[in-house]
Amino acid sequence: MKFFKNIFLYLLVTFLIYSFYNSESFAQQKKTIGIILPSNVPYYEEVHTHVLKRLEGNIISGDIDLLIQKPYPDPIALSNAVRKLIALNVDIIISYGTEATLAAIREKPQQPIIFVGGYNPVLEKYRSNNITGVEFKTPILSITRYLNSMKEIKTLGVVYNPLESDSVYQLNEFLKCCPFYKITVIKIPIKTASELKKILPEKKVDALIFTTSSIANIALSGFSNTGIPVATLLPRKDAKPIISLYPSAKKQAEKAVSIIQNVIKGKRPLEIPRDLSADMELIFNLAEAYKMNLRISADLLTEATEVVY
Amino acid sequence: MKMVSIFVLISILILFPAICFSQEKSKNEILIGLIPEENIFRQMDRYRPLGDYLSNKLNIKTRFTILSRYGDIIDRFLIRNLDGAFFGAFTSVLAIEKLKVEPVVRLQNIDGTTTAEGYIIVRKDSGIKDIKDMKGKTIAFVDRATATGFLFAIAYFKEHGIANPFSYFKEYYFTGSHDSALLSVLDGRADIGVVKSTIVRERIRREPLIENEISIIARSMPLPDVTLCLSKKLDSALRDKIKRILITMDRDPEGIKVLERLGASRFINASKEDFIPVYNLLKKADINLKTYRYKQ
Repeated sequence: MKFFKNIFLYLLVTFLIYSFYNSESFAQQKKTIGIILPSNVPYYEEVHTHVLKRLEGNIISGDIDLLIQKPYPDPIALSNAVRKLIALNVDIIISYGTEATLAAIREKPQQPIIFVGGYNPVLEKYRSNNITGVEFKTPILSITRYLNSMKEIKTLGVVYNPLESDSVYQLNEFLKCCPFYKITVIKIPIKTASELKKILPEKKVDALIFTTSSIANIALSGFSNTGIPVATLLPRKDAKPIISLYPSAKKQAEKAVSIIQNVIKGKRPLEIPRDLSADMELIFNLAEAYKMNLRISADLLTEATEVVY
Repeated sequence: MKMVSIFVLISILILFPAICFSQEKSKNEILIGLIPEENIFRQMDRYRPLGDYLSNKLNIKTRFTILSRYGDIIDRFLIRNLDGAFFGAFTSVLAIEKLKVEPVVRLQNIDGTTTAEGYIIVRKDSGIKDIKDMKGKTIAFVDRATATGFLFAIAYFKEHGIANPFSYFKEYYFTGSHDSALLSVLDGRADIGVVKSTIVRERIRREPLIENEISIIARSMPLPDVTLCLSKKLDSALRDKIKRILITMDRDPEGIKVLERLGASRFINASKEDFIPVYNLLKKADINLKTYRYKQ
């Protein structure tokens, strides 16, 4: 009995020393961070720029190498990008957005995955030892209420991508809440950005909402002024939606860097809780609203975190 | 000496009509302040008929003015020479102590309540279940001078062992109105909101889906709701008359219509004793009114 006890103690001590050495040596090694940044989605670019700025300020230059992959946001391109990073044996994978994160999860890498701008209702069910990150939820009821308070809406077009789980989830949320406002939801599914121009003329809508789908966000860029009020759940500076409601890029970056630093120091993702704080930005574009003869009441404007004149 | 007497006499003769005129002027118009507890346009819409009603009954023009911010209320009351104001629980206590006003009547809500509670609310999907989960989050208060939108929460946090609530949160801010504190949580602009129960209930009445979106983590004891306090500078007969008109207006068909617009069933008597729970909260929150900086 005593023999087994000694063996057990020996193994335990060895394991602890190994774990300690392993995490310490992990922390001391130069790290290569692989990044999956879906292309042509300026919001993720903005978050990434903030992440880089904060990393430069917090991590000694030369401590990390960055390998950035900018795939087109479709499942195959995203998966290929993840595979490349795995093949290059990066130490950490950072994924921007829900679909890039799902692509990383599907490839089951050994490396820690840190996601930024992940949609919580979708990513919630994917929990494992090597995943953590910064997530958000979109208050569908709020954006519907704000849009409806500017104009009486009977038909609301929801632009989504059936291949992007976050946008499908949001579509279902609109389907649940819109009947309360006596609004009929018109589904506008697009798998490529150019499809919107083909589909939209067939649909009669009083207003449009672009979900957090990357494809929908790209389509928003090319969306010319049709006189239809537009709201979006993912911002885009080269478009002019009347309402934008989305998680603050700066805050997402702040929280992401804190997680990245902890992983670099040797903490396991399992030990770092996912961050789901409310840091939404609510932007009203008053200039565009006036062009469409829409009135944004003063009390609505007071709720905005930014007003574009 | 003779010259001095003549000078004094002339001064009195000049000043006396001016003093009389200013008193006469204050009798020609009554100006009552409103705290910005909800959307100011909706609030003005609710109170305007009451102004007309009082003007008719008193034969003195009665006007309402919305005080831009809770924190300014005491200064504004003095600067604008107000005759009274509809205060919240905390601002009533501030006014009683600093302006020596007298609580006259309180509103009774349609559901029969005359009190309101403070709520600490979160989004149901926020993952915040208790005070421990609130650490490092963003909280939206209404104003430093509100009982249901600030004071009760500070007392609650201190009772739960958080000596410095402001450093417990990653960020805190003041929204200026209960409506806005509620919307901040609903929109995801704040993780936690401190807000008055009546405002939450009213919003849910208009938009029932909201009930599925928020959780109440803590609630205060019932606190006196909107109370009309009148300046003791106002003639006591006039104060009594105003009180009588308001207390009996639920028996007057015209008054009932005004009450309906106001979202109230009637006015009831108010007294300083009604505010004992607020004084208790001040103690729990370790706030001394004499030194308290209620302005932001």
